[in-house]
Amino acid sequence: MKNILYRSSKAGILLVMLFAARSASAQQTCTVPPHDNVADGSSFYQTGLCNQEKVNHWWGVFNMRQSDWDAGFGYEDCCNLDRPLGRTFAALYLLTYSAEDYARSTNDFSGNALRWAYPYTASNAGRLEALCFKPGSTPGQWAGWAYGDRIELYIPFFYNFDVVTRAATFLHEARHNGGKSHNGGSGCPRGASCDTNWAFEGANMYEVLYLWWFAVDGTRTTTAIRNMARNRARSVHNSAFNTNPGFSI
Amino acid sequence: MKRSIYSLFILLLFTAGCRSGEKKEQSQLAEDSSSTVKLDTIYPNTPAGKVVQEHIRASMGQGEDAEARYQQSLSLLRKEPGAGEALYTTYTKVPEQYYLMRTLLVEGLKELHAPDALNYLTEIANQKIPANRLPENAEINTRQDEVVIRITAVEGISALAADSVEAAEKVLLALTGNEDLTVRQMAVRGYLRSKFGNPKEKIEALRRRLPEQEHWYITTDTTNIRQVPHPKMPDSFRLEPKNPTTPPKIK
Repeated sequence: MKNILYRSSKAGILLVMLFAARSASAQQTCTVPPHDNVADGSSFYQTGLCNQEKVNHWWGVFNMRQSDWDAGFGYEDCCNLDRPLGRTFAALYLLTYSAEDYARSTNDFSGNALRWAYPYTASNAGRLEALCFKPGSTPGQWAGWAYGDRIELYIPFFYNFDVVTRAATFLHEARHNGGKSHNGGSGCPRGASCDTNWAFEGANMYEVLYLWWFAVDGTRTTTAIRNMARNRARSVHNSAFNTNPGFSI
Repeated sequence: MKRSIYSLFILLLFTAGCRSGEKKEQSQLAEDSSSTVKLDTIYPNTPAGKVVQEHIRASMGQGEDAEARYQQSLSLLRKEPGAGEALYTTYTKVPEQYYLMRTLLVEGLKELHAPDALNYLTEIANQKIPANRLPENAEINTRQDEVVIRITAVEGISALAADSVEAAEKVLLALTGNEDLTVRQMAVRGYLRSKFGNPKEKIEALRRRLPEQEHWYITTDTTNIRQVPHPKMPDSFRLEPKNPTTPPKIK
């Protein structure tokens, strides 16, 4: 008996040490990088996102949890655009409300990507989580990673991307969780995250369609932002496919 | 027997540890004095600088009246004599990573439709495109952000060529030899849409100048997005909450 206790306590000490080591290696710390909410367009979405009903909706649909968004990430002050959660809601607001008929039609999602981009993203993204950086990577390099049933978002997503790019990235990552990883290796002009062609219907196709439709039909925005979306669609179209789709956007 | 109890004990403890580690890592985010930046100070302290600053804000606007406010601001910008210089001066001072702001400053130059903006637009369109700043991350490509800025400038030059500014057409022809495919494509489009020359002869000249695999974009036509293959979406989506945890409360 004594021997068992001795061995158990020895095992317990060993496990405590293991857990302590595991906790230490799993703790990430980071600092909010320099950013300007006006320059990146976030501040203009403050009024729209800061709405309890909308926050409740996004929180539930994207399976968000306090433990993923507290400790400085914004749970305590979710309208604060200096924090990742507020910046996430700004992008979700844009994704949700960029179609003219967002509130009226919910049973026909063919055609216009502005109508299906949000429900597609909400249905496929899974759990949204915030972290300082991708575990095992160089901090500051990765913006996000789709794991099939969840998406991890890192500091560059929140602070390096303007609000339109954050919205398009949600759709892109949700397409990965919807079952399509990139299949083109490094065979496209940008040399990474390539899809073989348009017919593959991958994340790059979804991103181009969203940006392109935003340029054609985006509402509650300006011609300047729509023009920027069109030019981003052109750039992705020409750089992200092994076989250029050949559209003149 | 003892060995079995011991093994079970370890297994239970380890399983519990795995469950508690459902989120793979814990992050702590802090703020310091460098976190918040105000780029307002980079605008020239002149009447034109103020107009430009207001215009960039209007460009980023959102809401039912965003477009009306933007158009009103654009009218003021076009009437401001020093607007082109103020836009370009500001552009040169914006830190590289503020791609949206840089793009909108060039969009302002483009929308001036002013011949004296040609030099600024040409300078920007010809700037060497820096390498991707985040090469480890396959999903971010800052080179694309830079291309967006370059082709916005090309659009501005194209608008001037369409307005019969001959020098703009020459710049576009030179840009058909740019290092980047999208810059070449947009330069070709602008060149073909200018008021000068015979369109058929220009197309033939471009076909000789550009490699055969790029002849697909030697056209003034644009693709109708409604004619492009789209993915089939379900008739409806299920958007109900997936996890009944407490949402954050708005203060």
